[in-house]
Amino acid sequence: MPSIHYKKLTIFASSSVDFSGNFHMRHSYGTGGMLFSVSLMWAQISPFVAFQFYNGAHSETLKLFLVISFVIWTVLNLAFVCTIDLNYIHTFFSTETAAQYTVGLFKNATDDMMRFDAAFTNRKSFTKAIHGEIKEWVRLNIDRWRLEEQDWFKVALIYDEFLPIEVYEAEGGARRRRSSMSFREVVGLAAAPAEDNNNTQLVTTDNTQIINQNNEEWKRVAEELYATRSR
Amino acid sequence: MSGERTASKILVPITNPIKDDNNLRGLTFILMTAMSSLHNLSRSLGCAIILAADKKLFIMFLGGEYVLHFVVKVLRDDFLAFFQAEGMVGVVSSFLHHLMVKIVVGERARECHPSTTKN
Repeated sequence: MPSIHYKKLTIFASSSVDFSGNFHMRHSYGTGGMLFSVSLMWAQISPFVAFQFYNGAHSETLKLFLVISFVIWTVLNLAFVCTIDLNYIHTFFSTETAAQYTVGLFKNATDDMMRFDAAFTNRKSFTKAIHGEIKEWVRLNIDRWRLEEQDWFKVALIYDEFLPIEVYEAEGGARRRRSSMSFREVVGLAAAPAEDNNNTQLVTTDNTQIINQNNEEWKRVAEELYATRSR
Repeated sequence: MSGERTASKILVPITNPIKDDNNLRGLTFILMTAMSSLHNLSRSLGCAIILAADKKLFIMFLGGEYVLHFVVKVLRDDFLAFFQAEGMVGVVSSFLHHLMVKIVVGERARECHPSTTKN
């Protein structure tokens, strides 16, 4: 599932990114833009703060070195800002929380796949403010999704209270088992959960029958058309 | 898959501020590498200086930074991470998640090779 890029940066991935860089960490699911930039600034300020407690040798040389390093770092940052697309500059100062970002992701999504990803692959509390909206959106679309059988649609990911009652019953009611993230997924070792296939089996069986019926109908129409044209 | 392309477009504002130009991308990469090097240098130097001055102060210095980070996260109701682990598991895994992120952001190089940020 084309989930948010950041999610791919799980613990092991983070470690591998470690030495090549971690620009992604300013994402709302990471430190957030503002904390990221504050951390950057603090790394430059902290040597000067530390220096106030230093009474050892070569203090003047050290001070000069720190000042030069800070000046070069500032110049490099200015140059960096000049080279990047300034439409993105706000991402370095964003105070958006993970929950706010997720709500925005759902509201600004251009298709159902993105909405589904925002609503059901994140922490449930992130979307608390729009639970009513999500529930209504699921109610209006779930029949179509079940027919279309898109790869991204996994009924097992939908929380019980978001499902229309008839779908909930068809899925097994109170015995329904929701998909959850395994440890392997959290650490980035596994792809989609295997149990999804079992959970969607009921829906898949129903849909397969409908699709087969449709195919038969089309075949019959095509044969009639062919027979008519052959005469 | 068209959906994946759509997803990438939405993700771009967060992950990729680098312009789609070969020369600029190369220049940005060089700048990032230099900035990362200076960041690591400053960070290491700061730690070394404070360690030379007072070891207890170093622990307070570093610990205070991390505590402050978590306090900000908690006060902003932004502590729990995105993954769907609930209860104590959720709290512990969120703590570890933020700790890892903070360490990666704070102690290591922070910029990325443009090819890895390109969607």
